[in-house]
Amino acid sequence: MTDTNTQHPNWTDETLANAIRNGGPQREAALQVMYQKPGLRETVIRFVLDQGGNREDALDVFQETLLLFDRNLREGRFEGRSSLTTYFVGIAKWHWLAQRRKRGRQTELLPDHYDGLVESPESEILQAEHRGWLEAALGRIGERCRELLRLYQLDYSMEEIAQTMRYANPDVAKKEAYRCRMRFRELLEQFPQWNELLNLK
Amino acid sequence: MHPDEIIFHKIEDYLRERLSPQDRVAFESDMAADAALAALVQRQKQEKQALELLAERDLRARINTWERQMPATLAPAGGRYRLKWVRWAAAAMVVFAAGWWLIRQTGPVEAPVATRPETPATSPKTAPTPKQPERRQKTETPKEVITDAEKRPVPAPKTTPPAPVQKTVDYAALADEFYRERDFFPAGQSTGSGAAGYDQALQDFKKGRYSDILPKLRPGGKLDSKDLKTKELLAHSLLKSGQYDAAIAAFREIVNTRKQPYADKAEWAMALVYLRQMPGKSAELDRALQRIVARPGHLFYGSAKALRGRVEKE
Repeated sequence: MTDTNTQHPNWTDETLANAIRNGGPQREAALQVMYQKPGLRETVIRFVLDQGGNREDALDVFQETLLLFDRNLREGRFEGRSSLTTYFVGIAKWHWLAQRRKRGRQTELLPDHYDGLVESPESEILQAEHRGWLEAALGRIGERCRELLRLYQLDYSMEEIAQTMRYANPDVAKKEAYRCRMRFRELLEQFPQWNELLNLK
Repeated sequence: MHPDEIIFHKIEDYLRERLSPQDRVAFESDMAADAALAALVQRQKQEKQALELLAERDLRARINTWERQMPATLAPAGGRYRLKWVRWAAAAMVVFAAGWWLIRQTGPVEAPVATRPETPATSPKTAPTPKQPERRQKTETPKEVITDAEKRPVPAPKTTPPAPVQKTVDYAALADEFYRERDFFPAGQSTGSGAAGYDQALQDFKKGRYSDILPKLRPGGKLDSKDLKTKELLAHSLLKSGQYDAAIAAFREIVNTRKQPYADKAEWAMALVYLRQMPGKSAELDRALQRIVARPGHLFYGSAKALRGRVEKE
C-alpha cells in the first residue's frame, strides 16, 4: 500500500487485470492503481453530476464501483473487450443509473451502460436485505476463522495463508480452511433465510 | 483426508477455475450424473458468494486508507479549493521564510523555534479532510529557503523545541460523549403492554447489568422478529457488552425493516458502534455517517454532522 505500488512501471491493463483476477497480495496494489488512476475519478464524478447526483453521490458511486469492478474481475466477468478504464466507467454508469431507478427516478438504462455488467443471480445474496443475517453469521465465526476465510476468499495460496496466519505449514492451513468453512456452513444453516435462498436456486 | 474434505476442495478448485480443461469436463459430467453433487456445488457456490462480504469489508477499509493518503489534486470533492489552499500555504511559507531570513540579516536575534505550518483557521467547507496527507507535508516545506538561512552564522537557539507529542484520539471517550441513553430509551419508557420481561430487562440495562438481559429478552432462545423494541434493547446490550459484530448485525436488521423511529435510531447506533472500533472501522464509520447526513430529515442528522466534524477535526 505504499507509493511504489502505484508507481510500478509495468502496470498495463493486462497486468492489472491479472493481478486482480489472481487475488493474493498483488490484487491490493492493482486496485490502488485503479483507484488513483488520473482522470478516472473525475470522469465518474462528472457523469454522476450530469445525471442529477451530488458530490456525495458521486464519491459513493466511485467507491462502490471499485468494489463491483474487483468482484467482476475476480469472478471472470471482464472479457477484455474494452480497456479497464472503459469497463470501470461502464460499471459506474450502470451503478448510478440503477441507484436512480431504485430512488424512483425514471432513467433509461442504455445497452452501453450495462452490457456485460448485470449482476449474477448469486450476487443477489449480497443485497441489503440479506446483509444483516450474513453479517451475523460472520460475526459468530470467530476472528481467526474470519481472517482465514478472508484470505482464502481473496485467493491467497495456502503457503501465503500459512505464513500470514502462522500455521505450521500449508497443509495445516488447508485443514483449517475446511474446518472454518464447515463452521460457517453450520452457522448459515441456522438462518431460515439462508435455506430459503438455497431452495430458490 | 476425509472424503468430504476431498470433495470440498475439489468443488473449490472447480469454482475457482483451478481445474484443467479435462478435469473440468470430467467434473461437469459427474455433476450431470449426480444430483447430490450438483446440489453440493450449488451450495458451496452460494457460500462463496456470501463470503464476498469479507472481501468487500476489506476493500472498503483500504479505500478509506487510500483516501487519507491521496494528494490534494485528487481530492474527491472541492479539489480545486484544496489546490488553492495548497498554493496559499506555500505562498505563506515563502513569505515566512523570507521574513525570517531578513530578520537574521538585520542583527543577531534569538533563532525562532521551528514550527510547522499552521492550518488556516477558515479552511474551505468543501475540503472535508483536515488531516493533511504525509506526502503533501513533505512537498509543502520550502526546504531550499530554510537551508540557505541555516547556512548563515546564527547564534545557537537558547531553547530546544519540545519533542513532538503524538496525538492519540480517544474514540471510546468520543463514543461515550455521543451515546446518550435517553436518545434510545427515554425516561419512563416501558412497553405499556404488560411485557414484564422487557421492563425488567430495561431496568437491568439502565443499571449496567448487560449479561442479565439476554435471557430475559429471549427466554426460549428466540426473539419475535416483529418486536423492534426488544430487538433494539438487545442490540444496545450487545453494544454495551462489547459484542460489536453482533450489535452491528442486530442494528442492521432493525435498519432494514425501515420502520421509524427504530430504523433511524439503529442507524445512528451503528455509527456509534463503529466509532468505538476506530480507527479500524473508519471506512464503515464514514459510510454510516454519510448515509445519515445525506438525509436532512433523519432523526440524528444534527448529531451525525457534529460527530463527523469532530472525527475530521481529530
